[in-house]
Amino acid sequence: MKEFLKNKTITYNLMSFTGFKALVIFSLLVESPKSYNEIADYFTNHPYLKESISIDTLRVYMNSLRRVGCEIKRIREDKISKYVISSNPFELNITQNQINSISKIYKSIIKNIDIHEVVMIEKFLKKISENLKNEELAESFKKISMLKGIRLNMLSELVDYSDKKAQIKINYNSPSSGVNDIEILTDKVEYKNNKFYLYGTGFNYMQYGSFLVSRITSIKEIKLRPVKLSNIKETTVGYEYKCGIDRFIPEDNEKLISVDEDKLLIEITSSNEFFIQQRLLELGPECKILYPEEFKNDFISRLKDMKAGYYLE
Amino acid sequence: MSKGNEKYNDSCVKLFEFLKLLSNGETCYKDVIELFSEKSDEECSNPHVILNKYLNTLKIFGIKIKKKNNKYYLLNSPYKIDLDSDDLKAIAILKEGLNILPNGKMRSNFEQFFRELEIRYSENLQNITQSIDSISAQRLSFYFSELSEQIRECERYCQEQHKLEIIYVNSKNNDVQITCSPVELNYHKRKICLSVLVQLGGNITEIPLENIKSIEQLPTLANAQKLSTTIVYKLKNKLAKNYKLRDWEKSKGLDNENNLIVVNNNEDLDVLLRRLMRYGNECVIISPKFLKEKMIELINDTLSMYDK
Repeated sequence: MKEFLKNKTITYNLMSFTGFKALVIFSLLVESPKSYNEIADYFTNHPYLKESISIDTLRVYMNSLRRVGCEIKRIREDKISKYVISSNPFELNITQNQINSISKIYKSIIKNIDIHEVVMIEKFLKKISENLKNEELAESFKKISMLKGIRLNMLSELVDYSDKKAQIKINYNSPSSGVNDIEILTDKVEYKNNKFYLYGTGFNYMQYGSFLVSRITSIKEIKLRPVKLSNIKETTVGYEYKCGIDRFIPEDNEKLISVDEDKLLIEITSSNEFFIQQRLLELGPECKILYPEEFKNDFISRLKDMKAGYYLE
Repeated sequence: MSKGNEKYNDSCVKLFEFLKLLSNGETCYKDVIELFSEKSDEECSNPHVILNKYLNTLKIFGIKIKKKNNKYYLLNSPYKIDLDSDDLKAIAILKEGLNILPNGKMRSNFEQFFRELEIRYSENLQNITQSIDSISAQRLSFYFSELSEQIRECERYCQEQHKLEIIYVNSKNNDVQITCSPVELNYHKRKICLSVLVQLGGNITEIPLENIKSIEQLPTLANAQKLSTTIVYKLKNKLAKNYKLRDWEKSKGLDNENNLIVVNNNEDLDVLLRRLMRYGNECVIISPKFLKEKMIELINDTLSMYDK
């Protein structure tokens, strides 16, 4: 240390030698538990300090650190006493107002960012909540998360598998049919209506479907070589939509065929006719199904059933 | 070096007290000098000399401190938080979202938190922060970044809670003028709507920001007690079992036929009707009567598209 000071032309009087040692001890004990020998060795091998430290002096430094608010614990590891700083005055603090602001921002952007970015934000939020020592605020911080009980690791894995269009077997707790294993050719994970969904083709009905991630209890199997699905029956429905081209927001499975003044001709394709029906019901009288005839007739029957539901009341 | 029963080191305590003071944010030179003017066993020298001594110590240890306009700012804390480049990207995305907040407490709270976080970055992380910030600014083009001015304005209206007079283009392409109380901004996928309580009729209406032609803020305060229409509907079969209630919905439990009865208090009626249409014959509106009739009209209009 003295050599360093000489070389750097700073004299001993222009810095606090003990302050420097205290900073070294602080950083060592914050990093991980250290024994007296490990600290003494670090001091001896330090390029500037180059001298050991006695156990009594170390105690004085630790007392000083305690005095400024550090909590130092003595633990036994492999029959050796070690010291660690379990909390210190420089830890990250957060206020409830700051939590509210972060929550507001996250809620506002979640529907417009990529699912990978959602996973990134969730991992970041988890790290920060683990760093907060105030339990009440840490709990409040955890509530920023949109996972609501979903395991972050599982969501992250599902996103990875969907990227690879992998074939996986999940254990799914369905409210209607109970707990079942379902094999799926994964497609994507989406955050919709404040919930996370896994989309893909389920092997049980051989059609495209959505699965609430919160109902997936585990991923049981990942098939390295996915099966090529050849027996999937897809339906393409053509419909006319009264909407300006600038207002039209197509779904992933929709294709714009032509534009005629204020009418658009759109084709929607899926192996799940129920999904198509839901989409077209939502568009109401602004949409008219053109083909196929069978789907159109089913749609009209559904509308008649809906109407009948009101007159039966 | 010793005081009372427990020995401690004065210089060490003073140095860490100085660091604690700096950790609170900007620190006035006067407060720092005051700290070093408190007499201790060892230090009898000039407080300015002691300050320089400690500043040198921190600098040699790698702790950076900036002095500007007689104020000190800690640039990196002795305590680091273990973050990685993915975390930096997450922070950059959240910061991009900050554009939606109007200037005010919400915004400054957010900025304050991230300032405190940044000083706890490792040296390596501090080096890569700038490159990530510039990449994300180019890459993140949220749909609503084009509307950021309007979003900030509307967030301000929601905070200030004055009545508004809005002219907007409705779904039938007609100009509509309403007097209303602002409720909140709702962020949908590729669409942001100002949710308002319309004075005439007491309904919640969601207006897409791009459809708003003008907003005039009136001097009158919005009604403190917002009474919107209560809608009750029942969900049947599979939907009754699978349905997850929205934040603004309440369950009234199951009826005799195991239908789920839902009470909704705070949703744009047109948006709600479209949503309930999706549920097909698994959903029936119970009350109010006018909305039940509106739903039947919507079903009839849709059916009329197929009249031969």
